[in-house]
Amino acid sequence: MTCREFEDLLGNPLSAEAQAHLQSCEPCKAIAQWFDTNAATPPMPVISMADLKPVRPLPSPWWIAVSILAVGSIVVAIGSKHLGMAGWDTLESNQRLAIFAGLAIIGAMTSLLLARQMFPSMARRIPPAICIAVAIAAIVAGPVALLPWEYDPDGFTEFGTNCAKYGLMYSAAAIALTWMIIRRGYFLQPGWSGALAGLASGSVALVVLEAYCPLVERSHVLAWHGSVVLVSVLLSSIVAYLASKRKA
Amino acid sequence: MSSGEVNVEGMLRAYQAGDSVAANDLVRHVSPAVYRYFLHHTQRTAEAEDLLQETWLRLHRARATYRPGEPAMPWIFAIANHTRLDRLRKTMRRPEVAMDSPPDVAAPVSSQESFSPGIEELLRGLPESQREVLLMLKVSGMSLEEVAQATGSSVGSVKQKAHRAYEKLRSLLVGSGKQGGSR
Repeated sequence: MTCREFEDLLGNPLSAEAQAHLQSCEPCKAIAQWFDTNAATPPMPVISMADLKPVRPLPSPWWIAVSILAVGSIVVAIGSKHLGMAGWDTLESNQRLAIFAGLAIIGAMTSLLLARQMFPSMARRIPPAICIAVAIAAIVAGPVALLPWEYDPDGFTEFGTNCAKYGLMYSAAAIALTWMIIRRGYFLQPGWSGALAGLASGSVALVVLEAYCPLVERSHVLAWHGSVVLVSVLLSSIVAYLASKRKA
Repeated sequence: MSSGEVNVEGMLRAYQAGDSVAANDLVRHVSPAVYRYFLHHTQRTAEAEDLLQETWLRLHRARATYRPGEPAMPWIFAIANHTRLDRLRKTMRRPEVAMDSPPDVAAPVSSQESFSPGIEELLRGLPESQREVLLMLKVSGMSLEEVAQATGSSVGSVKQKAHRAYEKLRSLLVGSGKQGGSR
């Protein structure tokens, strides 16, 4: 038996062959002894189980992700009905395809990641920070690549605040509904879960704004539509963090 | 590990259903493995006890996130690991607490505070990810699949990290002149 073969056995009851290897290999023997002799026993943690309430296990991550997407779709439908579709009509077909398909992909990826974030043994595969950074980069790159620069200082703030107001309103609605779905499982990384919920909801608001806003100009979209996503991510993250602190 | 012999999954399901006896059994069965994991990471009994307590509080709050039918140990250790990493981040933000001071093992203090000489020091020389995998596999007795789930990585990656850690430990042992050769 080689050390490589022996290492696979370490921690398990050792076979006769493994025992024989130990007799002839001092480094393996030292490590095996160390693992054996450090079986410390802890004092039992003090947890009150007296008034233990039953809890319902969460549904699968796929189900949660689909629920978040469904909530987003409902908010988009209501927003488009309320604000109209002037933006959709103004956009050219290639712009439409790129913008709405891109936002749909961001929304789907974020929803799935947010759902996985709720399950401790699934939470680390894709770091939320990377997902958020990639999504925000895409949200910035989209208008830069697709929309013309026709900056007009006169209407910039007036039209912009109008869009930001509606955007934040729909984002807040989407965040509130998303939180109802994820409220039982955001404890693990509350700040990141909040940020992902903010990103998903901000993307929903962005879909509403792109469909509504006829001002398809780069500076307007970057400053006023994009800021809705950033504000959503930041606020949702802070609220989630504070809520978890309060609950703890 | 105990997950096979003792039905940890069953206890977790009963815990979710509000069975306080099963919950206490679960605490009794799982705590030693989690405690050893913390102890080997922190090398301080008080800190390991503290982390264990914090893990159970978190586990209690997050118990709805365990899905019946899935292995329990990766779920438990993922929470334990998050607890440990959060503590580490806090400690790094307040370095005067512990990070700048040498661990107890390097300079033996009292038998209450420090534990186990020798390989402990060598373990500290391993990269964080290798040490984490090695401790879960060899100290807490989890399977490769369970460690992969708990750490959010693949079985191949776990195997590779464990092998590298083990090889490094062996070479350090040989290099330190304490022991004989390896093959």
